[in-house]
Amino acid sequence: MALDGGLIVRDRVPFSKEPSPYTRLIHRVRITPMAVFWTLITFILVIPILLFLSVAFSPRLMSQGHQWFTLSSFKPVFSGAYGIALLHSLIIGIIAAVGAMIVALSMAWLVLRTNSPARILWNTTIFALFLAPSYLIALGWQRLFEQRGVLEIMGFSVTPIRNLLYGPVGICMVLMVKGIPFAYLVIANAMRGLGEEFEQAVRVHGGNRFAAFKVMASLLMPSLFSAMAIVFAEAISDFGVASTLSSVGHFSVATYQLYQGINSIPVNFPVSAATSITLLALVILAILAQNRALRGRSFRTLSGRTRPVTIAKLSFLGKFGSSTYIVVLLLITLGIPVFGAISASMLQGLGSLLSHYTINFSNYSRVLHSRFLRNPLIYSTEMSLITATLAVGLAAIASKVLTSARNTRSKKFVDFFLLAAVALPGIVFAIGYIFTYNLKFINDLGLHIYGTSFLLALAYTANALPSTSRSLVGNMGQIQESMMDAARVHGSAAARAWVDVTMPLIARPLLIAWLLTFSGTLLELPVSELLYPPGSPPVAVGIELSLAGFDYGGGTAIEVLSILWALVVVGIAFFLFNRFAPPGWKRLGNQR
Amino acid sequence: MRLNSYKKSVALAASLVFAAVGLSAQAAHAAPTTINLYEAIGYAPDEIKAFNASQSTYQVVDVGGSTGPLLAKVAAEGTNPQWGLFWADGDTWAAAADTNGNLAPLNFKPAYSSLGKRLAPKNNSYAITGSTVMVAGLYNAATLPTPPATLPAMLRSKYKGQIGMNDPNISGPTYPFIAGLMNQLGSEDAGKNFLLALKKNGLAVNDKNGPTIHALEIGQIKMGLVQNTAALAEIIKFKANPVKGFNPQIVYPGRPTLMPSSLAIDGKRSAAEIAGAQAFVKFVLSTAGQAILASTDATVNSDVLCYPSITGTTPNKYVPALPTAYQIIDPYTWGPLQSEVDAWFTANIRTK
Repeated sequence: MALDGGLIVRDRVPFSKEPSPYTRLIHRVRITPMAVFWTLITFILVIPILLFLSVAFSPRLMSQGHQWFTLSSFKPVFSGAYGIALLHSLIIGIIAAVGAMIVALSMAWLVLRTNSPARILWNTTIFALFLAPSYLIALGWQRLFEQRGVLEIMGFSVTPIRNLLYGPVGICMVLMVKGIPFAYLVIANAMRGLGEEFEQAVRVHGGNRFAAFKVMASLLMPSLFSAMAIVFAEAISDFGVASTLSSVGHFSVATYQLYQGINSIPVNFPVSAATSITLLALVILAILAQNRALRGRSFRTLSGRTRPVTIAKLSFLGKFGSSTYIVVLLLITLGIPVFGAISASMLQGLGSLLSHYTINFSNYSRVLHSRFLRNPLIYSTEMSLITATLAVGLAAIASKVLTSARNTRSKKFVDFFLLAAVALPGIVFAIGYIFTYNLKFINDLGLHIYGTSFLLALAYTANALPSTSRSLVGNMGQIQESMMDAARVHGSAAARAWVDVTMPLIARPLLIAWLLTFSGTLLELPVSELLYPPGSPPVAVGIELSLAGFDYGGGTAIEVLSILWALVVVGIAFFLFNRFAPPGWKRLGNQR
Repeated sequence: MRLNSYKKSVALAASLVFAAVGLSAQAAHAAPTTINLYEAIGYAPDEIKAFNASQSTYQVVDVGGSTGPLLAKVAAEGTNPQWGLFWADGDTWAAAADTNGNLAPLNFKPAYSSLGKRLAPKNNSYAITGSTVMVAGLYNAATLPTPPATLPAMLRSKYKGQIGMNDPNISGPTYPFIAGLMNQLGSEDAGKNFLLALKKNGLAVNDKNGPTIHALEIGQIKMGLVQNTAALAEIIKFKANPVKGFNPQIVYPGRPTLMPSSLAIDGKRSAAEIAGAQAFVKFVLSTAGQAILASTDATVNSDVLCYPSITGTTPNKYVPALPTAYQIIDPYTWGPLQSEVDAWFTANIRTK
């Protein structure tokens, strides 16, 4: 016992030494999920994009010219012809986005909220729709409507439709059709999280079915805008569809200039970067429109008390009409690319049903032993599994940032770079990766990740992150944060609270986002082509090499087999989820 | 006891270190020098396989793709290149790399044939592995019995709306065709005027060989100006499965251009890698390497339908005789004009 300052000290507690500033710094730096998220976003999205764009102003920075600062790269961009091309891209983007959103919304309502008999057809084929490459969609349309195509042989006069197809109308339509599956998945996910209580409230207060539908559509706004933003960004970054369908009468789009820079000898990256900056200006317009529409409103409707919905019983006429609509839409969205695939891979002869044709599987049996199929498909599957898992983890955080009630800088930042990654064509994105990770000083630090599967997985993840995040935005925006708060108040750690409270509510959307990423990555070409590790080509490169050797039948057969393989994986994933997931995870979207 | 244990530990650690060093030294000794080959040549994987099997000092690794993306990859790698060898159709890219001092010249004299000698660079800065013709006029003899055999003939009104070609901004081999056009007509302007006249006569522009040939198949055009290997692949396909009303044949309007395939070595690699790259080039131009041209199935790999550049090489059985009149253009002269010509094409021919 000792007296110390008038107090009796029974046990002297040893004082720890004052921590050094260095130790304090170490203690302050904590590895949290958000810290990992921001680090990854910086390295996989922000730096590659910024380095590519910087070439427009400073070609010398990336050894692409002699000038440290110049604006000469923007000269072609400020020409009148380019202005028109940019306007074309903007209009195409808006039409494709709005069209895809409207069709997807109506389809989600028919499939999830009515007893339309054909809805099961849509549910079982949605991932096949998503996997249909735009090349096969455009090919199918061409084979149907072209001169001496299938419809002309059948006796239909399709010249006026053909004239429309080979131009802006056809381009908008194909891009819209390509966007419908993604828009549907986003909207349907959100609609599953929307209980029936809101529609009932409208009906109790005298509103008719249409008024109830309008209220439901308003509550789905975040997902509607998410879907539109991605379809818009995909449409303005398109080059292949526009180029294929405008071959007869050239219809200029902004990406044509961009590809011209990349394909010229010597390669002119500064002009491509300047063009990319104008595409990003269109993205900013899209974000501004979205923010204006959603500002100051709350869409948090998903809680533990969300009521299962009651299925609307359609009349005979309603059933007939809705089923016809679904079947016609399926014929357009799935039937036409399937026809394109058959025509390219199974038809021996002219490939356009002109005359003297036979249909057989010889291309399929031939490519089973092709060096472009087995190993590349296994490698692509492994990479897609890794990418999907990584992207869904990051997307869960990104979508939480995007649905934050406050319009913070971090939210705007993430929103911009996620959309930028979609609006920039894949080849540009991949070039940004080479600029970043092939820098000599990075190699000198001992980091040699360019040309490795690791970098390819990161690039795939960054490429997939925008659509994966946006597919979750609708659901994340619906979750009432009070549930998490309650769990934390009752002593749950943050991670545990997320697994116990949030996970059951978004388990199905997470699964769908995972499958979306897996499917999208399996056949991804531009990033694969520029970043694959030497000696390990992914399957998309194999397909490209087959087509480049004028083996169109073989290349398309490999593509079709890869799509079928992806569908098998989708089927297995759904089976495992339905069989093994806890019952609470499967509750969202239950129907009465 | 304690000391013994300590000694044992030290001895164990030392032996592990020595073993590791020994193993890594052995591994380093055994590990072949790796060289990345960026290639857009269909039979390159077969050449790599045969070369790697023929020796154990070097390991060539395949990085296949289309010419455009591969050149973009090389440009993006900038001052830190990862390629050791580059092999693709055309020689303007090789000439540009040579002009910039990026290539290691061949350290041997290939046994070029007389054609190969005419195509090869005088300073031996890259190898010529074969050549194709840009362009062949692939026409449907069933609907166009008398195709235009000269350049002026293509402008006649009887061929209005019947001729199609590729876009040089998308189809790599199409620029040599346009450059050749300018070369034989005497100047860049004369070539541009010819293309404008062709456009006035209803020229259809498609992206690349495939869509142009399909336009011919469906009767949208009656003659497509495409790479001769694509034209030959089409003829082979229809000889195997004839279709009534479609009889693809080849005509060479004017003096077509011979477009070489070039194989170049990056001059910035290490001495060992350059030695390995030299060995690979030597192998490709050897009897064993050249035999792959004849033995590969051209129905699924049309790049073997090239004209060989090495003396004594047997071409693939589907390769026809050379056109009676052809020209070879200087890549060092025409290469630097490509960006300007392509941009002009977009603004004046491709656009409505």
